Formats: sequence, structure tokens, C-alpha cells
Amino acid sequence: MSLPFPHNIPDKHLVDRVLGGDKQAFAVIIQQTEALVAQMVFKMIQRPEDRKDLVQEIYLKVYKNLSGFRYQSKLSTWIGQITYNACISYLRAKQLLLPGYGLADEDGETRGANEAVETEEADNRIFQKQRTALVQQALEKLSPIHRTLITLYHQEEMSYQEIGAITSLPEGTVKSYLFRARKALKENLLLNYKREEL
Amino acid sequence: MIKEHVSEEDIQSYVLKESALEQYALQHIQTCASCQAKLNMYESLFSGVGEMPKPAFDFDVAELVMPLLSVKKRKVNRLPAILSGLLVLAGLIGLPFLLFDDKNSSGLQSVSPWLFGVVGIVAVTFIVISVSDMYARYRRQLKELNFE
Repeated sequence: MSLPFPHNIPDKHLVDRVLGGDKQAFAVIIQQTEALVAQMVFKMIQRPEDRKDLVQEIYLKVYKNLSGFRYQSKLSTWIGQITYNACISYLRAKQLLLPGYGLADEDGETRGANEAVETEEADNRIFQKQRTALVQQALEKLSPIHRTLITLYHQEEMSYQEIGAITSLPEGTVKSYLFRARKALKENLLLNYKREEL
Repeated sequence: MIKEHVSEEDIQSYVLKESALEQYALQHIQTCASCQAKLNMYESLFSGVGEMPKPAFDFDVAELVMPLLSVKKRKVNRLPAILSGLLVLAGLIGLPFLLFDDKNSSGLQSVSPWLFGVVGIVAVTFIVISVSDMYARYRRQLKELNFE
């Protein structure tokens, strides 16, 4: 769909156009935020057939509530917040919210030197063995919320504050969740590598 | 050399360049295989996450959503109309008391000119607000129908 709008239109201008009845401006909002919504929906919703309904629901909610947007954050952050809440509601309804790390919480501080060397070798070989694919697999094993936090921080390059705005979590909690998510991701990655070795 | 390992949280922060490590911690990492391995692992991990392809929907989101949108109705600010209405109502209620008050045996003659002025201003304000509101609504409807 080609849109008669230049890039980087200010949020306020777009919102005013939509509220003034310009539907095409809403298509621009979709175009500008679709990547973020996709990141979050893909990380939180595993069933592809459910994603379509959820995306539709998210954007209809955005459209319906647009007059309530108060410019206290970027429009994309606000839409991210709606996306996050919609995904959480979906997971709650399906009772999929409980984290399943599939991983024993090892105390990294007490590892012996042998394991450290093993880790180092593993690390070097991960570079050669499709690191991206292994990271992707490791990420799949995290809980939906941890997956989303990792993605927002490391792929979407959002700040802790922005992630806090989306998830309605205090900044300190976001930091703490992210620390645990990264640690779990690292452990999952090691396990993946070891499985590949067997 | 300090034998205590550097905490995983500090290693993460260091790799993410969120905070610097103390000199003793840096020295420890240089000589400790375990901490060095963790640091390398996190570097590798963060690069791997950054390299992951971004997902995209296999359907056109705009095409899916746009037909379902109804024409957005801007919330009409009814406050001026309500205030004007209240003023007129107050005037209508108060007027008989003034005109037919027993103390004012002469009826209309007893009403002071300033009161007529106030009632006149209220009436004119109400008309002006109503007309401007009607005109704004008319312009908006024209815009929605793309006649402009």
C-alpha cells in the first residue's frame, strides 16, 4: 500500500489527522509501528494462527483509544504498551503466562576452572556453528516476557525507561528481569551447544 | 590478585558498556579463565541477539485493519453549549421573579437597565456560540466527506 505521507511525520500531526477523520493517516501509523508490534507478538505468541487476530485486535484498540493518547510517551511506545497488554491478556486466557525456563539456575560464581575452559571452547565454536540460529533456539526457551524484554532491549534498542513504559514495570524491575533473562539465555545457549556436540 | 570472581551482573553491565569495572575487577578478569569465559560468552550472545532476523507478519496489517475502521468521531466539546444553556435557564427562571415581584408594583418599569443588558449579553453569547458550533460541525462533516 503506497501512502501519500513523508517519513518521520510527528506523532501529533498523525494523531490529529486520524482524529480529524483521515483514515489514511492511520495506515501510516500502522506502517511505522508494525515492526515493533511484530517483534512483540512473535516473541509472546507462539501460535501463528492467533497472531493475526491479535494484531487486528491491537490496532482496533489503538484506533478506538487514540483520542485518549496524551503524548506522555512516543506514539510507538504507547502502541507497544497496548500490544504488551493484549499479549499478556491472551497468555492469561490461555494460561501460558507462567515462565518455563527449562533450566536449573546454576550459580556461575562457583564453577570450576575446567568448566570455564569448556565454556570458552564452546564460545569459540559457537561463532563457527551458526551462532544466530543457536541464540534463536535459546531465546525460544525463555518465558514470553523475558523473550520480549530481551528483544526490546537488544534488537529494538529501547532504553530501560521505554521498556518500563511499555510493560508498566518500574525501571529497576526491568533491569532485574533483563539480568535474569540474559543469564538464562546464556545458560540455554550453552546447553544448546552441548546438545549439538552429542 | 583478588580471587573473588566478578559478579555476572557486573560482567553484563561491562559488556553492555552500561558501567565500567573497577581496576581490580579488570585485573581479575585478565587472569581468571572463568570470568573471561563469561565475558566472552556475553559478548557473543549479545552480538547473536543483535544479528537475529527481525520477524515480519506474513499478511498485510493495513489491509487487514483498515476496512474495519469506522469514521473517527472527534469528541464534541459540549461545555460552551451547556454553560450557555444554564445561563439562559437561570435567566428564564429569574425573570418572572423580577417582573412580577410584589414589591415591584410597576412591573417592567422597575427592572433596571443593567439587568436588560445582562440578559441581552447572555442571549447574544448563546446565539454566537451555537452558530459557531454549527459552522464547525458543518466544516468537519464536509471534510469527512472529502468535499474540501
